Amino acid sequence: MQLNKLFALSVLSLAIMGCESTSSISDDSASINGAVIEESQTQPVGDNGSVDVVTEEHAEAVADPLLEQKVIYFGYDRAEILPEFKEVLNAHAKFLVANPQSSIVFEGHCDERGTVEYNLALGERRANSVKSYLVVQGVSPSQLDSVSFGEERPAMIGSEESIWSQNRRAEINYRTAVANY
Amino acid sequence: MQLFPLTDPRSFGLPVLGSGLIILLVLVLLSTKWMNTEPVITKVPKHINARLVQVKKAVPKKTIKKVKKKKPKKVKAVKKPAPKFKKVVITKKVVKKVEVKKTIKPLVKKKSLPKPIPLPDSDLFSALEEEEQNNNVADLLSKELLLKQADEEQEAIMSYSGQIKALVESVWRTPPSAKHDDELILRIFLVPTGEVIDVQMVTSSGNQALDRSAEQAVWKVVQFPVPKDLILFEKEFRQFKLKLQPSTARL
Amino acid sequence: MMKRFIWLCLILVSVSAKAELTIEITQGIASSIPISVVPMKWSGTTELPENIAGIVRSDLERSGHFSVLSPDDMLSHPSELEDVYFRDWRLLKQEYVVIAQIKLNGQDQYQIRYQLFDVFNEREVLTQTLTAKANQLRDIAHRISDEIYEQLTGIRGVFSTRIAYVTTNPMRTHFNLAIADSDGAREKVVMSSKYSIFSPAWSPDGKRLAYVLLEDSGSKVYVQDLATGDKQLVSANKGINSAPAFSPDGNKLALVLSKDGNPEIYVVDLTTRHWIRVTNHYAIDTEPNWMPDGQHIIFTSGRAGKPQIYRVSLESGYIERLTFEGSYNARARLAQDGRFLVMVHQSAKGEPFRIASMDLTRGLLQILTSDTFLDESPSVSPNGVMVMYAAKYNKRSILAAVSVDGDVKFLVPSKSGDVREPAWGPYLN
Repeated sequence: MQLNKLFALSVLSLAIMGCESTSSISDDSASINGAVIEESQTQPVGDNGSVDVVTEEHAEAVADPLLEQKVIYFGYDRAEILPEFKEVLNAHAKFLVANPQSSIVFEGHCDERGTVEYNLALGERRANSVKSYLVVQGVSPSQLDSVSFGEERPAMIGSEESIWSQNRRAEINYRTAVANY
Repeated sequence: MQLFPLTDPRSFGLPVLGSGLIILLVLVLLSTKWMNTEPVITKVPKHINARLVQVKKAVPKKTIKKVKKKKPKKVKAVKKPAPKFKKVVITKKVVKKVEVKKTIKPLVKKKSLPKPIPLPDSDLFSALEEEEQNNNVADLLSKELLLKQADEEQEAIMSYSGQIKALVESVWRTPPSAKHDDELILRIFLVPTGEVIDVQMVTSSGNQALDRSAEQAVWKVVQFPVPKDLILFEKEFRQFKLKLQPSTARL
Repeated sequence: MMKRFIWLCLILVSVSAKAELTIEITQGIASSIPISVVPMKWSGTTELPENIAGIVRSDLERSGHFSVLSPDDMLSHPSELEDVYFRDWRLLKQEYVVIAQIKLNGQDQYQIRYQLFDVFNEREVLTQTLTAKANQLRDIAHRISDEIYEQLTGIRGVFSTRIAYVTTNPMRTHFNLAIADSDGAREKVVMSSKYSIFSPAWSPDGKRLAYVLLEDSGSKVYVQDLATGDKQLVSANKGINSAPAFSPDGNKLALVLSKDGNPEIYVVDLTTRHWIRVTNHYAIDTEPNWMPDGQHIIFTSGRAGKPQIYRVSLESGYIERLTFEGSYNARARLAQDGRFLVMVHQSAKGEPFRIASMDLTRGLLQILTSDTFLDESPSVSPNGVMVMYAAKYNKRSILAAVSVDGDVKFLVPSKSGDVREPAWGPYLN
């Protein structure tokens, strides 16, 4: 819904970094990319609100609309990137190459089927698979990071394929170039 | 399904059915004297034999009557010993038991051959057959009766021990720790009515819970089937050992 | 040989505190031992803080090996041997009778004397006198259950052991790591977090719990002392830090790290902090569990394309595949004697996830569960008789238990949100 906020974010987050403590960085990125679960799970609501407002104000018509899509989905027990998501990833790759100060954390997620630990590993595979794809597209590995949440942070709660397919995903979260871990 | 074949050959089917029913009736009547369980029914002839032998020592009339009743029906069913039957009846009118013996013999030979005693028997049996033909029946009979006696006693023992074991197993609740190859031996003390008066552990399985469950099973039976013949009871069933393995438990 | 059939019976246990679990038996065995636990004779005037006979009754019933006579159906409630008429109990088809009396011995000191009788052999099996404070009466009850269970089944009882599990609200924004009695009573929260907690693992002495905390930056492994509550960070490397498992001697922890780009099994000495990498494969290797010899580790690996169970020798590094049946075999947990393992099993793609056991000597696989959905996280009781696992039931995450032979089943539905990740604790002594 919110257009062009990415570029704004990259600028903005630099500004925020100057004054904010590191602990809330991932919270900021979560709220900006609009992942429902991330928002509901992270703490400072006040921060999020202010960030959004600032984002709107600084928005500039620069970015490819494909950059708005920050979630890609996977097949059951698979970590390969499906062809329909390559265009999206290409757009992100292009943006990252053009904006070396930007960086991304990929979050790998799974549906609830299978064991918790195996899914944690599978989530990492998904995140890493997106990461490698972007590296192949010319993005510097230093701009990319990954974390797996396994089946622990579902986008939707329920036990049917329509919900599971929404949960087998990798989320693309922009943040600043500053490594926080 | 079963009704159709019967109706077609009516002339044959009904007599066959009738005789079958009569045999069954007799068997059921006889079996009520022992236990209600199925295996007993098949073993009835053996007991009859056993009793017959004792007739020689102390003659209970009842048993003889029973055997008499039984005899002709069996012959019918088997439809074989027509010539021998005649022979025997003619040569030995005097002794009723002998009649019985003779007629039943062919059945016994054919059906109970696998069971009886070790090596010498088979030789004896073949010898006996020859002698029969020579009509040396008197000699033969005494030998044969002795043999039969041992044989039949053995069968009676086996039959009763089988029933006793089956009864214990049917109420034996083995504990979950029991292993299939565990084994224990109990000594059981009975009174002539078959009631349990004591149970002793002879060889423990090493599993206390299993041992206890086996002893319990014996007590649960309360009353065991035992031979009415007191001599046999005293000899074999006043006290006896019972070997038990969890693999045979039914609960 | 064993005639088995399913019977349904619902038993409510331990409804004393708010957040406690309720145990629901859904399947028992036909040949369970009939036993009567007579209400205790109490000479005091006030009400006893715990219904000991009641706890013993529900313990025994829940084990599936006993069918327990209701006190209402008893002909008498004896508390002394001379009042026990074995004939009466035989008429009620009871094989064992437990009688007991409890009295106050000074301030807050209870004395309990109980006797176990064999009805058919008409003899005493067990007599014990125990003393306890009011807050120990539940422990005493479980101890009595353990004694009776062992005497009559020949297997050590696990009523005194504890279970660890994780509870969460439906929105998954709050997580509690809790421990409770094996019947779900006396729940105690040992750790709370807004982050997901999973894979709790008991130390062999039952004094510590290792677990994974999935923070925003990723998963980390902690070991927490249950008595003091002290929490120690064991592993926070880049990537995955997960699936902790204590070695049989309690000195080492096997876990999974992906710091080298790929999930691999590692072993860390908890005192020297010396790390050893155990596996090295580009596929997923995870969910380690120690063999009782402390020399081998079984684990889940995707090296054959689908997750299967493997065993690695710590000495030689030799790896052997253990499971071949089914398309998904994962998170194996060994019985304490190492004779068999239990695991999450899917027979073919699209088939339901079940808990299965596999005999390690013969390789025989048996599916144990059937009534629940998405069965996960099996954990074997220390006596190797029961398996507790997590599953979906009526759209909620619950704990359930099944006997290793599949004959006894019960559910442990929580009254407080979803319950996951059970771990059956060791014997405590």
